[in-house]
Amino acid sequence: MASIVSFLLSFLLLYKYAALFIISFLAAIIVPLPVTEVMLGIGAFVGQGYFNFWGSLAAAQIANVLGDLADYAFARRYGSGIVHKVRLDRSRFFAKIEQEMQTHARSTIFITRFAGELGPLVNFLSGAADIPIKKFLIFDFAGNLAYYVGILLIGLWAGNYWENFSELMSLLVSIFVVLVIIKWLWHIYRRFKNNRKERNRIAV
Amino acid sequence: MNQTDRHIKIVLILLVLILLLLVMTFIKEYEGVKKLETLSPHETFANILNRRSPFTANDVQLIQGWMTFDYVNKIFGLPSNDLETSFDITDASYPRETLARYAERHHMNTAVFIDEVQNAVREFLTKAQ
Repeated sequence: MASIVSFLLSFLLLYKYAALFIISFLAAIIVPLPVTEVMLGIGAFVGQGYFNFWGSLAAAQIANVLGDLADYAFARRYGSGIVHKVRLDRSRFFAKIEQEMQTHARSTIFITRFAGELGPLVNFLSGAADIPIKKFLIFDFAGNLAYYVGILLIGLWAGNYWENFSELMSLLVSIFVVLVIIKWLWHIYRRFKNNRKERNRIAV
Repeated sequence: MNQTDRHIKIVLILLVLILLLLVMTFIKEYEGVKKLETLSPHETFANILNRRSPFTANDVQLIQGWMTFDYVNKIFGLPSNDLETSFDITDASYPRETLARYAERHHMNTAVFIDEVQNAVREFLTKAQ
């Protein structure tokens, strides 16, 4: 088992829900922690009677939503300044990403709750693209809830063999990430193509 | 086709190849996990929620350094002072300390200490049966 996972599991066994809250919050903000493996372990601990299912779900869910909101608020406040400073506002590609975010905000926010490090990235994009906070919160909450219920149940079901599922779940998350990126790029590619067709039509 | 289009197409092709590789690896891992015959694929939510995974003497090899004494006591149903007595532990941190940390602080080889803990737990469970 990777040493970071061992460390986090020890931290969880010693400080339980407080540790779970901290880990989930940090992972939601941007820190690349192996949350999937950790949550599988928590699911197993629930089955072993060491954690409570609803307590674990509440701690992880609240921490994650707060972390996501922190990213969103930061980007909402400072996003346009940062984008201008790094000259991303001159990039047509970035403009397409923002358009994509605005057109498919609901599905993007919901699906990226299952997609590891894409989650925090979408939080920042949501803030920078001025997605309404209510819309962001609803789909962020729903996506996180679906993810945490699912992963806890898988850990609970796997029981003492939960470590055998870690690799499988990490692969599943990676598949999700790649699918989301493919979807984004494909839509952006279509936007570029349609814009060019429109420009050509107008020129004619 | 302009340069941006070309770049996006190349990246998309690469991503699809990566996706195929990931899916193939996933299927291979899944086949490995399916061999765990003790897992039942069809359980209701209520059954899963109430599922309890009692540890037996055959599970002592699952004990690892990241586990605390407290956790080991709980999952194997040991009396709280069993390991304390077996290893003559007088530390105030017991049982809220990991096995690896305890071994490190007492300058013991972690793997050897864990082995000893596994033997102690196995002995207790065998006697209790």
